[in-house]
Amino acid sequence: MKTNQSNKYFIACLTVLAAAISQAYAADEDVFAAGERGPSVAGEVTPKLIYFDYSGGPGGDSLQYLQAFGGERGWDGDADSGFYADLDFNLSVGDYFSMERQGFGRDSHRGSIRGGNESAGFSGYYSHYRSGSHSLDYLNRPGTENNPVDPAYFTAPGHTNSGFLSRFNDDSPANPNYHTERTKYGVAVKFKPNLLGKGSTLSVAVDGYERDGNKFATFVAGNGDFTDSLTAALTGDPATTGVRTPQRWRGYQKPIDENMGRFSLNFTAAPKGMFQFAYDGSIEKFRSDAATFLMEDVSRLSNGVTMTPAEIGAWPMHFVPDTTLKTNNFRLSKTIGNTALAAGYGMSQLEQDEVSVVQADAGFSGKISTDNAFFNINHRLSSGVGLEGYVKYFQRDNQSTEAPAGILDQDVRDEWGVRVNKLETLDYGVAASFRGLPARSSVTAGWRHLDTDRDLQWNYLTAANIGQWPTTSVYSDDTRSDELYLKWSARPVKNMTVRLAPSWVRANKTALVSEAEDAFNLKAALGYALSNQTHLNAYYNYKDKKNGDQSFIDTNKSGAGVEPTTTIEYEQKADDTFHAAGLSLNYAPSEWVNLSGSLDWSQNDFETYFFGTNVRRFETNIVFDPRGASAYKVDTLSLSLNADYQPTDQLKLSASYTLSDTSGDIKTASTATAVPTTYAVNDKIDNLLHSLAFGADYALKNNLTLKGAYIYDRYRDKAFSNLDGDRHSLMLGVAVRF
Amino acid sequence: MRRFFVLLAALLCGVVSPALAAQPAAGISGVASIKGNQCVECHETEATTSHSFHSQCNACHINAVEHLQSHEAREKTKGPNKPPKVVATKPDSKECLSCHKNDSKRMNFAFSDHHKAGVQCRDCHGNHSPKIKSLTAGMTKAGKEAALCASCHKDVMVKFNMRSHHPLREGGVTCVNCHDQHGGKQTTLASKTSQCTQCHQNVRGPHAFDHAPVVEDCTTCHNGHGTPNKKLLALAEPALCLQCHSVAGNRHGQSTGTSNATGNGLVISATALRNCSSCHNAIHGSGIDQHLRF
Repeated sequence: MKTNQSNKYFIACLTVLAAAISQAYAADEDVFAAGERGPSVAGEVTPKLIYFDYSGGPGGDSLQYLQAFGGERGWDGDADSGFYADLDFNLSVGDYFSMERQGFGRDSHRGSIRGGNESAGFSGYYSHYRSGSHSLDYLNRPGTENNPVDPAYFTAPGHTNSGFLSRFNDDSPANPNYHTERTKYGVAVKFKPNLLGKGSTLSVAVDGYERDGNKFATFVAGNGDFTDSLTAALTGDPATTGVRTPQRWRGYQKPIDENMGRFSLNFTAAPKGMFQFAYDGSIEKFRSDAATFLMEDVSRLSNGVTMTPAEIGAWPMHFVPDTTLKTNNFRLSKTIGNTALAAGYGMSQLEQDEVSVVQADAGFSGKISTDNAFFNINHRLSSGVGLEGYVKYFQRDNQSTEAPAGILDQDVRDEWGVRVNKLETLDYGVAASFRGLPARSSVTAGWRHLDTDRDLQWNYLTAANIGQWPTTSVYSDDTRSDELYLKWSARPVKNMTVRLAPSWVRANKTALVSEAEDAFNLKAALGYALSNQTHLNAYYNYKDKKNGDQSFIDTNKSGAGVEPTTTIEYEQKADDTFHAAGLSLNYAPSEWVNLSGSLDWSQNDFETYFFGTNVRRFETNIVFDPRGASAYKVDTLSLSLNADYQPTDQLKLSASYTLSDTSGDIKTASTATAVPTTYAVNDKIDNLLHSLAFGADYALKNNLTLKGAYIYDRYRDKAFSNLDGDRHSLMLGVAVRF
Repeated sequence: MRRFFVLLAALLCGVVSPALAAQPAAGISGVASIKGNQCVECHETEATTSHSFHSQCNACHINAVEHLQSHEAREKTKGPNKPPKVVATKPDSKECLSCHKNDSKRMNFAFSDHHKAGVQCRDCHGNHSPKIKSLTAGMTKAGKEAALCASCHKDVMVKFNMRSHHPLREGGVTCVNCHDQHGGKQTTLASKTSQCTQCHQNVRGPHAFDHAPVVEDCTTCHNGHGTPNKKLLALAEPALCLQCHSVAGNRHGQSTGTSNATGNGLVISATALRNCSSCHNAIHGSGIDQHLRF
């Protein structure tokens, strides 16, 4: 049936192509006649017919890797193979109007329009893109071959809390098709100085998007929230937990139905030329209209599973609130002789428009405000020396109500890890630049300081529900760091440019392990024109970031209002090293041949410690347990080759090949030994992407060009073999210029 | 905020005073000194390819007058003693901005990252012809804007070939959806997270229970260009999570190992370690659960 439909579409599309070609032949004379009259209208229409074929992957509606990124669908909706037609066009009327559309199938297309004169202008755009990347997560959901559960967890005598890891319960429909579609749009009108006066502009814009689809989501319910009356207990099932614990860990299909609309206003003015002023304001409404999955939905979807107590049925899973964001930004700039000044202030307020039933019962409402300010100045002392200074301020204030009691259980205070009440950052620095140095070089040397203060609220309340204490966390109040940097660029010999940019960071205090306590960064680049035909570029980037500033401390918390006692301190260390190097060559032996190639390599080597604790950090007596290293070392090699060749005036040929090969270890201490040998969890990343493309354009006439392209992609993943797949794609089109 | 104003005052006192005493820079010279179609007599092609709004050559090529004068002088002079040739220079950013600074996106270009790196407007914008004339087959969907950025940022472009990446090559996004090519970190009025949440509003909250790095900076966990890991994570789980989080034995351990009363020493299976977010799925923050499970 599908084949018959495809044939019909194929014949219909050939008819369209044939019609377009014959029209172009017929129109050719008119075009040349119009050209002699000097028309300002120009454009091109390219109807295209595409055949695609995906193979490999898990089958059914589940997508393989290549389908998830920019996948296609045929006329009949088949995502595995088929035909579709599309149309590219562009049109311009002098410099006063232009319109363009590019299409790559029903799931990927975009367009833009703009026009105007020296007094006013307008612009608009849209784009549509469908992604299946959520389907990749589904393929590797818990309980699959590559991400197995561990039944051994259930055999723990007297250990009833983590037994849920022995089974994952998938409540999603059989053979789901996970995807999201995002359609963006925007229109704007701008009035220019010719209309409003020197230095003044006014623009009004509306933009937004629609996002629809679904994704796979997971959650872990409470230990007794679900019981199973039908499923047989697992081997070694403790009698008291057999009907409930394995039911806690669940997954479901989460619908997505979101839209955002934003109105923006921009106004600039230069009052009597004294300075330039700009105002940007926007109101943005975000809505999530998808039905929220409730705890009680599990009983509906999963036969035999019952939920208790009844009141938890209204708990929303992964609730996405409707929100409104308002922003107001003001900017001033002024140039006085050799000095440029810029200042700005901005504020925003994000408010939650919709609360869940549970949040409403607890009296919660969400509100976050931010303030931003900056001042920049640079001054040219002479043609060779410049100075610059800046200061920048940022504040994020969490003004959400603090629930009077626990959100889920109003009799018991929630065990908050930490609440970030306020985040305040002051960032300032100075720099000096020198030009006209030997070897036609210039140097910029600078210093910057970052100062971040946090108002963190730790919830240490009752002995029964004690909350987290700062000593058991590696998140703290302050960041104080300084950075010295140097940027050097030169032309030491003719046709050669060299850039070198080292920087050093040293922090007196850090608040997160991921911040740099000590870091060295280097960016180096070389560009060299070996001849008029041959250009060489190379780069090397290096980063070494270390942090040993944070510690876990064994902490005894005995009750509310009692200062905890601490004993042993364990330093948490993180060491992150990154290399990237690349070499590219462009060779154009004649005006008809262009060859280019590049080879790139990167390596990320990261190491940190893996700590265990006896109990959760919300509980009373915390004892940390250093269990070894958690390592991550991954290499990526990429090769790209491109060739363009024009053997005749009519014919243009192109070819390209891209290879991306990533491999490495992501092993965590004890992970490998702790996995039952019957489960082949792979602690590696190992994947390979090939992409080969050929293209040909043949000009039948001055206004008529036949276009063809063939693309072959191949993805192989040794760690997650169900993502493997191939794609063949063949495009035929005809470009008609007018 | 008080320290901001103190520093502001210091900068103003130290640097503005000498600046105020300086003489204003000379404006664009020679705008009215070329008449008719003198340039077009030689530069016929450029005249037909320039934008209608840029039809006055010497508004951008500021030494066009000197160039024309030297050309005329050389034409008139016979023999070897011709006056030196003056090449009409391409416009610097300063010349372009004399007209194009009239919006908030370009008015702070002097402090932008591109400007500091020595990038001129003309390096990206071609008034007479587009900088990117054609696309390779692999960049067709990405478009000419992305191809233009890639011509310099080769180290970034290669990341879009990695297993997890923003769909730039596939046409889903382009560079300027996230980056302000005319701005810089020093003059932005956006917070570190608002750059991402202008598209990803569904994770911005407000949340009753925050995840601290989400409040701080999305790039703590994500690399927006591309990574070898799922979901644009800068590191794979669990290493990413374990740098800040310890693992509680009484919730994640199993007692087939050396079980003890406190729960430490229990074996932690890869089931728990490999994908922390399989259970803590509300990783960007939760409206109701302090453990970020839903």
